[in-house]
Amino acid sequence: MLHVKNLSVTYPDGHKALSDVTFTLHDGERVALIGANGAGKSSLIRAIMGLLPISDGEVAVDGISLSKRTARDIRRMVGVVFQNPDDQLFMTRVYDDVAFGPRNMGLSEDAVAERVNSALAQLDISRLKDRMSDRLSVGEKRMAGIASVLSMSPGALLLDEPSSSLDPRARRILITTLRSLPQAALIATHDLDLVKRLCTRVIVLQDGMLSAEGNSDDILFDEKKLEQFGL
Amino acid sequence: MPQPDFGFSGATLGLKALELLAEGDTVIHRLHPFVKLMTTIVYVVVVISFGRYEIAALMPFFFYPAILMPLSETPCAAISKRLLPALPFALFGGLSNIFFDRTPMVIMAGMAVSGGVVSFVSIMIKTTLSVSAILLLVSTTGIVSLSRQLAALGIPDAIILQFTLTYRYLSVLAEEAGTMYDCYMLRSSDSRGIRMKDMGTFVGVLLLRGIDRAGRVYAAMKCRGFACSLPTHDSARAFDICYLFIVCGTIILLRCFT
Ligand SMILES: Nc1ncnc2c1ncn2[C@@H]1O[C@H](COP(=O)(O)OP(=O)(O)OP(=O)(O)O)[C@@H](O)[C@H]1O
Ligand SMILES: [Mg+2]
Repeated sequence: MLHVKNLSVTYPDGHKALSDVTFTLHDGERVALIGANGAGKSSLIRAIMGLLPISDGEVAVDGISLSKRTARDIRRMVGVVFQNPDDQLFMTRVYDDVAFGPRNMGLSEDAVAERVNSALAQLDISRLKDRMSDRLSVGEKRMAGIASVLSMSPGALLLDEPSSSLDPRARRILITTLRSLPQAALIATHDLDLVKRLCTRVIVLQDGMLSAEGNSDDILFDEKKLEQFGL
Repeated sequence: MPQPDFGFSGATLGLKALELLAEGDTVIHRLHPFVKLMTTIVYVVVVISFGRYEIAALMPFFFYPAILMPLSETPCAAISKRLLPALPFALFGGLSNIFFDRTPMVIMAGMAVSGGVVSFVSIMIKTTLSVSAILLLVSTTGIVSLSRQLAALGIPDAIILQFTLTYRYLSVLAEEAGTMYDCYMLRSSDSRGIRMKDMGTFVGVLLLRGIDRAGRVYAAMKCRGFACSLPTHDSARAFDICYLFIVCGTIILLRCFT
């Protein structure tokens, strides 16, 4: 599904955020992306979406290689939830935010409504439907942001810290929902318990480099290793 | 009911809240967006076209907001509150006139009023009128409908994109300003506002943060398939056409005979 090969990213100010990262996300697979603060998780997600200039390497989704020309197609196939929910929501009401993607897909208003309602119901936040997006609590914004991507039912999901600032119940609902989805997902997170419940494979980033990759169980139960990774 | 003091963040532009008004269902809301867009453009152009010393001639133009507000059930406060941030700009422009243009124009209560003062008042009135008209357009039409209408008129996507993004940028900027102001106030024990020596940093950081956030919001829009190709509206009805001719006609007649 998603191939990242020898990817390097340098920010305009010269900060090297990723160097030589290579991994693959297979169809239907849920992979955790872990690493200390500043390790480059968010940068990797932004780079895959074509939001950061790639200095070296390649990103390909379903055989389409990421370039300026193909960025739009890739964004149609891959849904992303950003780390900061304030960036995710920009419409006036939650309903319109969740409807934004489906509307851009050219669906009829009935089909849009159906998708919005089902995404909201799936995450158990139908009550937020008519609220103003910028007046929600942080956790509510997080859930609405996730709904805004689920409503597009993309082929793969990139989630940046999906469980942060969620209460235990919302977090459980999120885990159940993600587990029920057929799509491949790359989940950047510090929530190791969520990783244990949700992901089969783990990728560890350290200072912008891929320092380990393997089975969730192998990596997460090795405390010494985790310490080494800065976790 | 007395309003609690929300500090700066409560008093920010609230552009999103203004958009929420666009969901109302009144005669004005039901008008075709094209008609509202055209009348607003005609109104603004006509108001601005008055000479710099004209005041009396502008008076009849208050009819437009005065009629539109009750018809569209837009609370006066919703418009006036958002009008305030625009006035300081007019104020600066107008004030300089007072200093540079000192030729006596009219005698009022035995005192000579200079041309500068007259043009100052004229500028303030023009700003008030045209900004209110634009705010009323947004509050009765909504930004999405407006962009669609612009697209239907053949305005290039790039320009509509600029328009939509400027609007988003303004709301983001207002939000960021609110957050930063609150953070500043909470960490400064004595001051009643932002100290002059911090003002430069504050404004600089605010603009950068605004641009940054607007950029990230735009990225989020692109990631959800935003390509600025919006479906178009239904065609206008007879009532819409009547409204267009009557309102634009009145505005133009007022311009000719005052
Ligand atoms: N716009 C930017 N310009 C320059 N450097 C940046 C920029 N954004 C991030 N960085 C740097 O890139 C590195 C990786 O940042 P990134 O946000 O990807 O980390 P992260 O792994 O997501 O961290 P966290 O767990 O805190 O979210 C950091 O050292 C950060 O300082
Ligand atoms: Mg991050």
